[in-house]
Amino acid sequence: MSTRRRVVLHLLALLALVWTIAPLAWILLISLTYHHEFASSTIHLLPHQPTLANYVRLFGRSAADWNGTIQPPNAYGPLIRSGLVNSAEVAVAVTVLSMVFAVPAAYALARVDMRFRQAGLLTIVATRALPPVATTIPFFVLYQTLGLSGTRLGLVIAHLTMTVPLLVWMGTSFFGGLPPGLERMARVDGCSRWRAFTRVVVPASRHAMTAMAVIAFLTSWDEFTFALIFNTGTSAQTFPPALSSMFFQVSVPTEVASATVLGLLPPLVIATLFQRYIRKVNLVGL
Amino acid sequence: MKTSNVGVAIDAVSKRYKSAKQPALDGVTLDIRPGELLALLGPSGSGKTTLLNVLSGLESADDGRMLFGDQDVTDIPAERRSVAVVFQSSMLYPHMSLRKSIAFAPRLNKVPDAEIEQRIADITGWLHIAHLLDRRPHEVSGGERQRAAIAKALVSRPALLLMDEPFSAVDAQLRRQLRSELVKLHREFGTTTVFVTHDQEEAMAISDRVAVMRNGRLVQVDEPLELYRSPVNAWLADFVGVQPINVLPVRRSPSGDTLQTADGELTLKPEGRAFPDVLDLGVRPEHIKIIASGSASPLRVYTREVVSGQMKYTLRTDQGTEIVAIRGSDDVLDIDTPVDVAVDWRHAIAFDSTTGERLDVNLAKGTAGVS
Repeated sequence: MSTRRRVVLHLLALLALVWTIAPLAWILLISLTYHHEFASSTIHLLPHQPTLANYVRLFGRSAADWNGTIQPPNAYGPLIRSGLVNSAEVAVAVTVLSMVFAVPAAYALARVDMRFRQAGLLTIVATRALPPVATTIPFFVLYQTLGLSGTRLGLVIAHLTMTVPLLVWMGTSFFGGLPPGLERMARVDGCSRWRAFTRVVVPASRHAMTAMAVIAFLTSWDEFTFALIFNTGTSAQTFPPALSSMFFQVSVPTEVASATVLGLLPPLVIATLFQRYIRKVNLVGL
Repeated sequence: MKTSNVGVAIDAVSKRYKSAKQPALDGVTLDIRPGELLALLGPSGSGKTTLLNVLSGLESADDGRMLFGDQDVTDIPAERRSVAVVFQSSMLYPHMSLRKSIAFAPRLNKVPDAEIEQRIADITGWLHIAHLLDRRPHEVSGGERQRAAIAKALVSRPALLLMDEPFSAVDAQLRRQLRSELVKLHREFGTTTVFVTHDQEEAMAISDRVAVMRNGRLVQVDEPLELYRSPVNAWLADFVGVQPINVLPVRRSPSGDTLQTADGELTLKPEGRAFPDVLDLGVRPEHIKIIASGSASPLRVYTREVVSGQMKYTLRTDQGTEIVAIRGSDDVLDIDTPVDVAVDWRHAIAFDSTTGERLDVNLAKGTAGVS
């Protein structure tokens, strides 16, 4: 590669990095600023008077403002906090159940010689082509009847309709990429079919399965449409609609910013922890 | 370090896949001797891999029985059969070090760790891979992977070692090297081995006996040289041998003691007389001697090639009858040189001209002139 090309590539990478990181960094910095400073001075990056007051107030405590006056706890604190808890519960449940359904399905579709294999895979994957909005009305009517509206279980089920096809699709290509005679070799080595799966196939595809789980978690954590329509205003409301209502009803950017940062933390931590697994996985075509 | 050798008896085993017109195995009966290295040879689709899978227990037979020694294994699944398989691909677990892959089966079978270590040290020493044991499969070369796969197969001391075209994915030079290592290893360990291949040269080179399959049936089971010298039919005669055998459709000439080609241009004179009026004459290129050249001969040199330091000539009559002959390279013949040939009748084989089966006819001790 010529030096010039390398310089151009590095500049492009830097641009992409700034493009991605800058808004997040700015949100973080805003969340560490007093509203007074943010509203009164010209736009600047680093807060002159950095503070954790916005966070403290979200967690139900009073905190001193820039001039020392005590501000009461943030009124939206409970909503944001229960939203985070609900989101975590829903996302974990979605992750576990997605794996329970998608891994065996993907494995069978990829490795077991059976009729209608291709058709089965296509049918499952085709459901991904439906935008969530298209299924909300039927879901809503159904949930009214079944009493699943405003429940975390209802949202978990709705999220599974998104994650399972996605994970089956990913998993099929992962399992399909394992060496052809792997299970046969395990059988000859003394494994039963089940043991060949647990002792050989699962460890051999642990990277891919970690990536699948991470994607299921992130998909559920970020999901907005179902969460907004089914659970808004209920005790089962998750973080994205909670943040959205806070955003539309509170005109204090520094407070909204601190809530936003709280919502960003779990996916950020997970993505960082598992990034080496995700990186190894070919996501082309997804 | 010898393993216990068992013989294997395969008795009338049949197998038909759903939606297949022909059975993959059609009443195969075969005795494999204890400690023998048997090559299972056949073109693709002949059923040799199916037979291997049925032997391993990975697939079940529709019909027939199989015995390992005295034990009937017909209904015993693969994991409890004491077989090891070296596959064509996927020879090792991709997520394990070579050591772990090799130790996997004996560990499952609860062989003590110290014993496993000892066996691994022995076998990998033999295979020159002892220094690579902590690497993953993708970190070693193709040949080293193959060696590790063989070590993996031998370490559990199977009653029967099955190899499914294990060297087909490596280059020709390495293949030859691995082949001769396998023969040495077999001498050392003496495990009863079935080696599937479609490469007749490979089968002939390594095995004690060769079982040739075609269309799900056994065609012939014999020692390599016997197979080469006395193939049961013309198809097999053509299938084994580096150079294709000459098969000339001939008939008895009016005089009664010679054979004429269909175009009447070539007359060959076997010593024996007890041959049928019509037959296919099989002669390998090395058993045809180019004896003299005379301008009256109808045969001329049509093409020539260098084969392993010798000259391979294709001779042809005006009518298009072709004979391939091998001759030393000291005195190279020019294209279009008229030549005569002599057949070494001891090695000439008579085949039935309609069925292709070998005829029990002795053509030997004659010389042939060409008129």
